[in-house]
Amino acid sequence: MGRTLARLALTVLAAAALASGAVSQAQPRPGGEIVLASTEEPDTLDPQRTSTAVTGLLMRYLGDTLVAKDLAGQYTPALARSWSVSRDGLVWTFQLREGVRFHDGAPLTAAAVKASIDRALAPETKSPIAGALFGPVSLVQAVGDRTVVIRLKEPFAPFLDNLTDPRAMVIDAQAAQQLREQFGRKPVGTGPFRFQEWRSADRIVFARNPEYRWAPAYAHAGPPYVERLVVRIMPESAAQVAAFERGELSVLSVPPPDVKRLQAAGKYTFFSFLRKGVGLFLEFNVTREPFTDLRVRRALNHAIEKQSILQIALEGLGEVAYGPLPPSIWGYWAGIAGYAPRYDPARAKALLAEAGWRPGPGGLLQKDGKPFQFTLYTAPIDTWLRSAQIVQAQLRAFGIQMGIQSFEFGTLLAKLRAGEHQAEFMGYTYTSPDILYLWFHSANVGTGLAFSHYKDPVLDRLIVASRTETSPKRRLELYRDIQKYIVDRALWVPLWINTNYVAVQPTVVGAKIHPDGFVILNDASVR
Amino acid sequence: MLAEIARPRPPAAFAWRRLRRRPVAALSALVLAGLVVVAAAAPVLAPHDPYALIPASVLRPPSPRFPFGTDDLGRDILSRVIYGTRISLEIGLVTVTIALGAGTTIGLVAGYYGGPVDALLMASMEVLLAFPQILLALAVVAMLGPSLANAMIAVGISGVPVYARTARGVTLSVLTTDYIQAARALGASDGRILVRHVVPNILAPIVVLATAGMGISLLVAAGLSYLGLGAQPPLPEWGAMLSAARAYLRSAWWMATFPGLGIMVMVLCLNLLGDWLRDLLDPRLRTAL
Amino acid sequence: MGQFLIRRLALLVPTLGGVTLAVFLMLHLTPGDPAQIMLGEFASGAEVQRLRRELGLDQPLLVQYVRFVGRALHGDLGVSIRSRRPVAREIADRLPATVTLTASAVAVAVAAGVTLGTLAAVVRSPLVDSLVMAVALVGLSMPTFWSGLLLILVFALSLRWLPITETAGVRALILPAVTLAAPAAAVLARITRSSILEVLQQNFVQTARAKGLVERRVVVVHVLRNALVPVLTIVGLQAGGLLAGAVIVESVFARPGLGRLAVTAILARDFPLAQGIVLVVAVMYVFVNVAVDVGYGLLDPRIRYR
Repeated sequence: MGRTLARLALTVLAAAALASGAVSQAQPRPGGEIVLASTEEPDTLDPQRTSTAVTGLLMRYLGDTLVAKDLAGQYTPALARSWSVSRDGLVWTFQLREGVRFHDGAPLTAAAVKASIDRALAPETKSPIAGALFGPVSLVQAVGDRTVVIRLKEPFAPFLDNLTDPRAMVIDAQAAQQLREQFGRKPVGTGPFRFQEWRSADRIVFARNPEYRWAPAYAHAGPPYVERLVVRIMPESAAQVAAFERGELSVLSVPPPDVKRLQAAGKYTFFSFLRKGVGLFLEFNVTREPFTDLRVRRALNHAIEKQSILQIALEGLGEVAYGPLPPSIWGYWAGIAGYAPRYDPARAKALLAEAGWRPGPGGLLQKDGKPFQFTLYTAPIDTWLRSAQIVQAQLRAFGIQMGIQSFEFGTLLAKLRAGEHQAEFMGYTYTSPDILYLWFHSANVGTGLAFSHYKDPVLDRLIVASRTETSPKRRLELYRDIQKYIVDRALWVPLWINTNYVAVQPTVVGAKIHPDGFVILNDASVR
Repeated sequence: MLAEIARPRPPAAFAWRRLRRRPVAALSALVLAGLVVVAAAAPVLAPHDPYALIPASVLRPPSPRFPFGTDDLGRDILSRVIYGTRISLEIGLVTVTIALGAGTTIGLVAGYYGGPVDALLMASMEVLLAFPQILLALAVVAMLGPSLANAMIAVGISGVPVYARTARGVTLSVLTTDYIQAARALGASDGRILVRHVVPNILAPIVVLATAGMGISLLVAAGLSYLGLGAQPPLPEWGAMLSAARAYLRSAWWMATFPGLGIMVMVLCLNLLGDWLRDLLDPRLRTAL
Repeated sequence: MGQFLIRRLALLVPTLGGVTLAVFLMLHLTPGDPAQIMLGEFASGAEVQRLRRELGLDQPLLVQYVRFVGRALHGDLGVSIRSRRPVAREIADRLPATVTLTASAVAVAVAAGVTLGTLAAVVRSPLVDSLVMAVALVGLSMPTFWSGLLLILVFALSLRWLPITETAGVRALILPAVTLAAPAAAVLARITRSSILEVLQQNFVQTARAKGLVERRVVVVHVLRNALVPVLTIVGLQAGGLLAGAVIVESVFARPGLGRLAVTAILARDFPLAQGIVLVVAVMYVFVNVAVDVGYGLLDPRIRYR
C-alpha cells in the first residue's frame, strides 16, 4: 500500500512511452480529428444543469475551471493565476489571468466569473451538482476586472478541490441568459475546443479554439493541434471495440475482457489509472432486517472473499477495496487494509451464530423459523452483475440465500432513497474525500446518497469537522477516524476498485492521461 | 378472410402418414420432443450444477470435462444450456397460454355477442395492436419491474390481439352460415353451437398461431434480456446468456454460440412444425395470419 | 371504395384516443418519480417538490391527460424532462433516421423475400426449395442483437467491407437494414412461396394455360397479382414489427433513432417524451394499416364489399 497516485501516473506514462515508442520527437502536425465514443448521451451540455457523467468529461475540453490539478495531483493555476484564503477560511480571493476570451469573443472578466458562479447557485437554475460544488457561499464579488472574491458562511475544506471539477467551469453567463434552454445545446466556455454541432443520438462535434492560450501547466500554452473532436454516441460497447479496431475511433475506454487482447496486439498506446472512487461495494440498509444487527454485517464482511471477485469479475484489473475511500483519493488512510475485516469463514460463522442464525434444513441459516434470505438491488452493469453472482455463490456456502434484482439506474436510485432495499451494489467516482459526507451524513438520508439510511450523531460530527477543518494534517486525521468508524459499523462491504484502461491509436501522438481520469488532448496530433 | 366450417378432424393415422412424407417436419417434431425430454431430465443430464462457480475454470474452451466450455464466471455452459431448455419452454408455453387464453376468449365473446360489446373489445384490440410488441413489453416491464415472470406477462399481453382477431373471425363466419342459422331456429342452444361448431374451427388457426407465437416470444424475451429487463442473473435463460456473452464474442466464442444455437434450433423447429400443422389442418388458412 | 375508406378512417380517432389513454395510464402507474430521477442524486426533497409543481406532476391524472391531448392536437407534445427540449423537436431529430432504416428494411425484406419465395415456388427442384426455405428460416430464428453483432464482426471488421461508426450514406445503412429485414424477409419468402403454389393450382390458371398463354405471362400477370394479397397483409404487419425491431438494431449499430430514445424515455420515466414517441409511432402504425387495407381493397375487389 501507500502507492501515491503521482508515482503510479508517472510510471504508467513512462512505461507506455517506452513500450510503444509513441512519444514522438517530431513536430506535431496540425489538422485532423480525434474520435471518441460514449455509451451514454449527455442530457445537456450545460455543466450547471447536467446530471450525466459524460457531460463532465466533455466539459474538460469545452471549458476551464479557476483552478486545476497538475499531473502530480497538485493544485495549479488555470483561469486563476493565483489565489489566497483568509485565516478563518471564509474568504477566498482569486486573481484572474489576462487575455482570456470566451468562445464567442467576450472577454473573461471578474464580473463574468461572478455571473457564472451566481448562475450555478441560483435557485432558478436548479443545478443538480454544480451548485453544491461551491459549498456554503454567502457572496461572490467582482473587485475590479481581475479579482474575484468568494465569501463562505463557514469554512469549507473541499472548496478548492471542488473548483477543479469540470462542472465548476466558467461559462458565459450572458450567452446562457440569451440562449436560455438552448444554452444546453450550444454551450459557451473558454476551453481548448469550442462547440460546433450536436446531432442527437449520433455525435457531438467540437472544433479547435484558435484563440486558446491559457492551458494549465500540464499542456502546451497554445491551441490544440487537431482540428476537430468528435464524440460518437454508441450504446453498444462491443461495437465500440470493433470500431476502434477498425480504426474508426481514436481513443477507446477498454472493457476488461478486451484489455489483454488489445494489449497483445502491440500497436496501441495504453494508459491505465486506478479509478478515483470505489468501483463496487455492497451497502446494507441498516433499517431493514436482517442488517439491523451489526454482527450480521460484520459477518458478511468476513464471509465474502474479495480477491476471487476481483479475479473473476474484473480479470484482476484493479485492486481489492477495504474501506470507503480508494488509495487514489487524498485522505485515504493506508492502514485501512490491515484494519478492515479479513476473509475469515470461521469468524463469519461464529458471528452469525451469535446473532441467532443457526443452520436449518438444507444447510440454510434460520432464525425463529425464518430463513436468511435477502435481495440485492443492482444496476445492469456487466461487472456488477458478474460480481453479484460470485457473492451469491459465496454466501450460499454459508447458508445465506441472496437474490439479485437489477433496475435501470434512475429507478434504482429512487428505490434506494426510499429505503426499499435490504442491500445494494453501488460504486462511485469523485475527486475528494468529501464524498464521505454525501454517503454517510444523516442529512442525506432519503434525499441524497445515504442509501444505508444510517443516522449517527457521532459520525455526523466527525464528517462536519472534516469539512470545516482548515489544517490538512488535522483533516487527514479526521478522515482516518471516519474511515475506521465506518468500517467498525460495517455499513459497507467494499469490494474492488477497477483500473481504467484507455487505448489510443498509433496514429495519434501526444495524448496524455490526467490523474483525474480524462485524456488530455491539447498536445495531441494525428499522424 | 373466410374459413370453412370444420371438416371432421383428420384421424391420427392420416396425420402420421402426412408427417412421414415431410421429413423436415418430422425432424422438427422429433427435435422439439427431444428438447422437452432434455428439459424434463435436466437434473439427470446436466454434468455440473448450472449455478456452481468454478474459479479455476473461467472462460475455458470446449473440452471433455466441459463440452460446451465455461463462461466468464467459471460455470459449465452445457449444464446451463440444458437447464435453459426448461426456461425457454416455459417462456414459450406461458406467453402463448396467456395470449391464447385471453385472446380467444375475447374473440369468442366479441364475435358471439356482437354489437357494442364487439365494438368495444375490438377497439381495445386495435389499441393494443398499435403498440410495437417490444415497446409494449418494455412499458409493462417498466411498470412491474424487471424479472422473467414479468417479461413473460408482458410478451403474453402483447400477443393477445392476434388470437382475438382470429377467434372473432372464425366465430363470425361460423355463426352466419345457413346451417347454424337453421340450427338456432330449431332451438339448438348457443353453448352447444359454440362447443360443437365454433371451437373446432378455431383450433386449427390457433394451433398454427401458437407454434409461431412461441418462437416469437423466445426472440422478444431475448431482446428484453439484451436491454437488461428480462430474466435476472444467475438464471440460465438463453437470451440472457447470449446477452452476457456480447463482451466476449472475440475472446470466447463458445459463450455465445451454444445458447444462440439453442434459441435458433428451438425457434426453427417451432416454425417448421407450425408450417406443417398449417398444411395439415387447412391449407386455405395459410392466409389467415 | 369511398365508403370503405371513410369507414376505415372513422376508426382512427377512437383508436388513437385509446392509445394515448393507455400510454398515459401505463407510464403514470409505474413507480419512480421522474422529478427525483431528473434532479439526480444530489437533490433535496424541497427541490424535487418544486420541480414536480413546475412540471405539473402534482395535478390530478385526469387534468394531466386532458392537457396532454389538448396540446398534442396543436402539435405541442410537451417538453422532455431529461433534456428540456420540446418533445416534438426530439422526435423530429430522430424520426427521419428511423423511417429511413425501416423503409430500407421493408425494401430489402420485400425484394429478398418475394424473390426467394417466387424462386422456391417456381423452380421445380425440391433441393432449391429446401435450400431457400432453410436460409429464410435461419434469418427468422436469430435474435437481432446477435445477428447484428455477427454481421459487424464479419463484414465490418474481418472483411472490412463496410463501416461501423458512420451513420450517413447508403454504405452505413446496409448492415442495419439487412439485420432488421432478415426475419421479415423470411416470413415474406414463405408466404410468397405458399401463395404462389396455391394460386398455381387454381382453376383459372389451368384455364389460362389451356388457352395457350405463354407460361411466363401466366405467372407474372395472374399468379403474382393474386398471390400478392396475403403478402400485402404481411408487409403491413411486418412494417410494424420492423419499427419495433429498430429499437435493438439502432442500439447495436449506434444509429440515432426513435427506438433507442423510446427505451431511454420509458426507463427514465420521461413521461412527455415517452408519450410523444408512442403516440407518433402508433399514429404511423395506424396509417400503415389503413394503407395496407386500402391496398388490399385495390387488389381484391371482393374485400371492398364485405
